[in-house]
Amino acid sequence: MITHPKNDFERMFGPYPDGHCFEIESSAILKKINDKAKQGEGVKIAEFLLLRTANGKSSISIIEAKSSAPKNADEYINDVQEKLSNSLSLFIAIYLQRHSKNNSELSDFFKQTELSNVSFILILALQNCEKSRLPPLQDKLKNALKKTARIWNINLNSVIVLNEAGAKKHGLITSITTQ
Amino acid sequence: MINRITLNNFGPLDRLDWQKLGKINLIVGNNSSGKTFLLKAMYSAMRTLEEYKRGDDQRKASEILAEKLYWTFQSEKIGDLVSKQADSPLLLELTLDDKTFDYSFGKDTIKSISTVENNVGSRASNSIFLPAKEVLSLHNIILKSREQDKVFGFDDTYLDLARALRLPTARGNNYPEFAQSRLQLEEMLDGKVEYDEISGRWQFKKGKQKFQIGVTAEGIKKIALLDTLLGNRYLDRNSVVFIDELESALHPVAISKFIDIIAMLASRGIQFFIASHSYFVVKKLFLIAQEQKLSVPVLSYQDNEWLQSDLLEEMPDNPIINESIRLYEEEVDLAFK
Repeated sequence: MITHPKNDFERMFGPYPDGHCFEIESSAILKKINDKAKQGEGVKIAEFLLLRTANGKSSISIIEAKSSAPKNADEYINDVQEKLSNSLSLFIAIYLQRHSKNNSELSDFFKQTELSNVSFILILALQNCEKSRLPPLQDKLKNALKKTARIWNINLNSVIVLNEAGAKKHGLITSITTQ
Repeated sequence: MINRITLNNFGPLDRLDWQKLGKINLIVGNNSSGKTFLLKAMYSAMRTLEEYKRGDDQRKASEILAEKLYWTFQSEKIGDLVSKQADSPLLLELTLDDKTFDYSFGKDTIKSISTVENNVGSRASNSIFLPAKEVLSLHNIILKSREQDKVFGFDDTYLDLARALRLPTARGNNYPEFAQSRLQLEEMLDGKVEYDEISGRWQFKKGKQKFQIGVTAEGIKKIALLDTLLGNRYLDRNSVVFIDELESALHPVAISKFIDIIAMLASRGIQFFIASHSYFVVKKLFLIAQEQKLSVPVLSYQDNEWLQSDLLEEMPDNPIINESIRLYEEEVDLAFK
């Protein structure tokens, strides 16, 4: 599981191999950035980044987890878009040592990853959401992240919305522990 | 309003009893599941009741029905409509405003139907069938082929529609919802489709420009059909409209707008039976059912059987609906490859 879950759903994620999960939301750098901001004007950020390698190809998934699906989809999707875009930017800023020279918060696995050819996957995970509601939400999120995807040359197919079952199927939730 | 339809051994439809019908009813299924067959079966029954005793027509209901079935399904003998594997007769029972109309016949029937029971009597309103293919540019060809040459090809759904379109636009106030619907239809058209008496052809007028109907977009022709039938008062508040493949030639935004107009007309009394295999049609009707708390009965073909549900309660479990989920899953799998 991730080390700083805010709720039962976040507690479900993992466990992941040591050094492969970067909990950006609880990072010291984010805290430092937001300490300077006024109430409600801080940088909104996703939960965590997960580094994985499959078939000799590395990918970094950026995951925003929510326990339920939205009522007002437009507002909600804009919020998620902002968090995922900010997480991508902040992670790359940290990787490029824009905030501190030794990148102490990033594991060696992240530091040694060649970002020029890594695949980024931007994920919204919803705990309680019927499968039939996922396709339109995914389309909406793709649309909202279109510019970010263009800037970073990320394939729009890598913007996805999953429910709990999908998160399990694709290895984001590997244990059934909810403690 | 049609309350219930029962069919036994009617072509591809072995056994069907669709009850508690609403103002808008939806039939979903893949190609060759029998959607069009069902619509035509209902339509031919309705037209029989509507032609019965109209004006000076002295034909018996059984005679009208036999002609209607012959020219609608265009098989050499109407006994060919009985399901091939059936060992009992074809039966249709339609309940209209709580009164029944039923008939049955066997495989050997050539053109005389002996068992017809009509408790409905005659009917002053008109029903219409809007086929998937467009009609306006073929208008004269349909009329000539059927009225002069009397040959198979265009069935009665086309002929009746071509004749209905021939009626001139009526003057005077229409029902408010009908007038409102026509305004919306004309807004969608961004012009007007009119019959030109001089050339004997339909044309599309946009501002000062005129286009022959043959070069006009298919979607425009479809919307124009409904607009014309409302304008010439062929349709009234008790009409039943059968629409085969509503989505054909319409893009998703036009589908949504078209269905909004249907919902408005349904609230004024017109009953609709819509056959579709479009996700957009089902979804839009689902949203209307939810918003207006309106029962929209659905007949859905799956695994060789017809299932009944209601969009007020749920989206039907159907391959068309499941396809959007399947595509979604394919997309997600692609992201993790």
